[in-house]
Amino acid sequence: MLFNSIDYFVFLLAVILVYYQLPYRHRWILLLATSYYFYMCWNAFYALLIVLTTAIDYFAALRIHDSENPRARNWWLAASMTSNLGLLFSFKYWNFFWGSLGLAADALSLPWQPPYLDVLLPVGISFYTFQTMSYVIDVYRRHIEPERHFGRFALFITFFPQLVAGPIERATTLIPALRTNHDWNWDHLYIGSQKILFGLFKKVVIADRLGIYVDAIYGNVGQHNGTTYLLATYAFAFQIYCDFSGYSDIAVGSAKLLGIDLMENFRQPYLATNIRDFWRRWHISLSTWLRDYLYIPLGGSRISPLRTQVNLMLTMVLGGLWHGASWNFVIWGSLQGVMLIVCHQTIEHRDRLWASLGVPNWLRDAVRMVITFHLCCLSWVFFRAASLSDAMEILGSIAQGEWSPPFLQLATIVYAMMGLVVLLVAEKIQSQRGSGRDWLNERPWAVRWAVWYSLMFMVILTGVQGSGQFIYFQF
Amino acid sequence: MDNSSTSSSKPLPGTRVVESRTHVLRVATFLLGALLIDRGLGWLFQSASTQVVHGETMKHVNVAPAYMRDGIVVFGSSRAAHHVDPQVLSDQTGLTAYNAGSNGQSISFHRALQELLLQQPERPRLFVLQLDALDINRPLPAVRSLVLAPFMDRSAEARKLVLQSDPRAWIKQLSLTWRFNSLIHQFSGGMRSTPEHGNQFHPLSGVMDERRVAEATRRIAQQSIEPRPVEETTAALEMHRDFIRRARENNIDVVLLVGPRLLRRSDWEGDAVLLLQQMAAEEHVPLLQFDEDKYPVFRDPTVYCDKDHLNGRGATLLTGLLSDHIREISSSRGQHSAHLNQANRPEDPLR
Repeated sequence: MLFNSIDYFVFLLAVILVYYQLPYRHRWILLLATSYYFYMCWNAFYALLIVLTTAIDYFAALRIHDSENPRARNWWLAASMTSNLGLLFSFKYWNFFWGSLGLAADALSLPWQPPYLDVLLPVGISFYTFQTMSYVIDVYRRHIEPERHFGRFALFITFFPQLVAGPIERATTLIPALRTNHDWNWDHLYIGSQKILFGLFKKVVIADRLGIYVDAIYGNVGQHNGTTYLLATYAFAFQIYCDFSGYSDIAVGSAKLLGIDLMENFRQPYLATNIRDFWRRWHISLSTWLRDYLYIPLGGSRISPLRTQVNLMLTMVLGGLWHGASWNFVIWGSLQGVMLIVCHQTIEHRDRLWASLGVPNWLRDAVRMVITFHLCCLSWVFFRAASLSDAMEILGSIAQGEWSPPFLQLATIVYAMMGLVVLLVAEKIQSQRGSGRDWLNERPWAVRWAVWYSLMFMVILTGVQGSGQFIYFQF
Repeated sequence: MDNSSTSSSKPLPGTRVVESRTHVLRVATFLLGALLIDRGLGWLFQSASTQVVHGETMKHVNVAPAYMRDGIVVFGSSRAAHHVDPQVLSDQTGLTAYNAGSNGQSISFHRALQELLLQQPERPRLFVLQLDALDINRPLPAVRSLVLAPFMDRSAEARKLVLQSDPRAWIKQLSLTWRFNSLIHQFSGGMRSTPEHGNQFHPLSGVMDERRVAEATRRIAQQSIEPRPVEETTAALEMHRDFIRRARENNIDVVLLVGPRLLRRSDWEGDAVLLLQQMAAEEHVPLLQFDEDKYPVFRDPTVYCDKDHLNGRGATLLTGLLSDHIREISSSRGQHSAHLNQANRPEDPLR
């Protein structure tokens, strides 16, 4: 059941109607049952994996909390981490790991056939695994009390708006929200449905439309010139942003309709003025997870500069690998790591340089934004290309300056551009005012309604029909 | 017992009822407004759609009638749309010609378009139907049929196809605006143009060079397709037969056309070509196979812009060959009308 399907909206409406009719103490049952139903619409069998993960982490967290014996606490933490990462490894990284070893054996002419596991990747496994791991670690650190209500803990893992593609919520915010009694609130209806509409707009009007063009170019590497690849890479930059942030908006909006606040996952990432700034705005729930549960425990920036850089690199490589089991993602993560390190090392010098040039701040920021966007695009090539050789071919064509007119699908580009103009205006307002919704609420009602009607009819008129899954479902 | 808190303070009951009524009224008004806009926009698009001579589908329905009277209408996918130049066809056969080829479409779409054209008062002499072996071996995305949504009230075939294309189309089609989804660009410019503009041929540009051929060969070798279920192949063949039957019911001849490809995978096509040949023989319709085996000129990569499509030079070659064969068929009918399936026909329209 996809967020951009009629089925989902019928499902969501039914859940909301029943949810607010139920006595508060029974609502978790409804949300848990519907969350499992939501997941089982994709694959019923794999719901057992979530049950297993939930059971292990529920008991592990209780044991960790109740025990004063450091060895016992460590043992339970290790048991939880091993089971979580073991499942993740088995379903997501097994074939990549053994396949890579197989390639190495081939290179050394060793007669060895790597084991191959013919399994489907469980949707959302990376998201819910990280969410439950953060819960156990927080209990271990005694930052939170464990949730003793098994059903509510199970709901924390499976809450359907954010189950399959995040945001990766923290127990400190989501569990209390699931405990709270949420009365019907009209503001929640308005905010939630507006958020959903804007998310849907990003997904079907922009991301899916750009996806048509990107698929046509990246699916036929070797058939196009450098200009076309460059254009397709720009298109992919906005496709992936609108696809993922569109999903996050629908997730946040859906939860809001149930009275629950989820964290914002994006904050105008392409307005970032450097890569460090980009990671404060892009997939915030993952970047903060990596910071809190990987980078800082490794020592963060409190250790020697060299160790800090190694930690940064390791964090970003693992962050890349989190996205998918392929060398493309390792390279994508490594590139991000290198760019972050360079950014850390040079930012003060660059600031001084800009200051000495006497360039106005707006121009400095504009130039930085353009450079940061292009650095992101460089790494997106590895993220999107089907293989390393494709990525190199694309970058080679762009670098060689094959600047003949690009291959264009005019209608596709025009539809996407219409959507992008709306998006960029909204992003600009958000960056200046903090909230586009607040800005809109200050306008006369006719303007407000005109904006929402325009978005609605752009979705109906220019949204891509029968569009596929969200890109991040595969992670 | 839960010691949970509540997220909102509770106003007095009376205030709450009044407030709720206001909100309900606001939501209802917004939805009513959306409904009215939908009807208004839908009506506007519907009215304007009769003027469209740009893009596909709406253009075909609006422009083809101007060329149908005793003329030739070509149906097919992009391999008809960009391979058959109607002007060359017209010049060489002496008949008016219209190319109703539509990118990415298959026989189900051509059947629906045929029905829409048969609603017109004028009748052409000949339908040329471009066939594709992959058409009956590899299902095309059903979503492509949604371009027929503006016509779903005008043709049962179009309606059936649109409803089949999306499991939730039966709900979506309640929105009149939705029926023009992804079609509004066809309104731009087209409404200012003339039917002649609508019959312009748009050849594909570019030439396959050695590097591109090698790359395409490598990619085609790596690709795989899901075999199509037998019942779908049977249904696709049946639709071809329906196309021929409906043409005959309207005294229109049919010529089937199979075009060339630079690269092909025989395992993708399977016995589809044989099935098409068998169907053509059983229906007694001419099947013109301009494939690269029979016509060495189509082995030359420089007449292609990609592995599947001819460029402008290739299109001129193909159209010339097609014209020659149509003339031959026409003259052979004149001499041996019994040669073709004329049993149910009062006269030979090609004569």
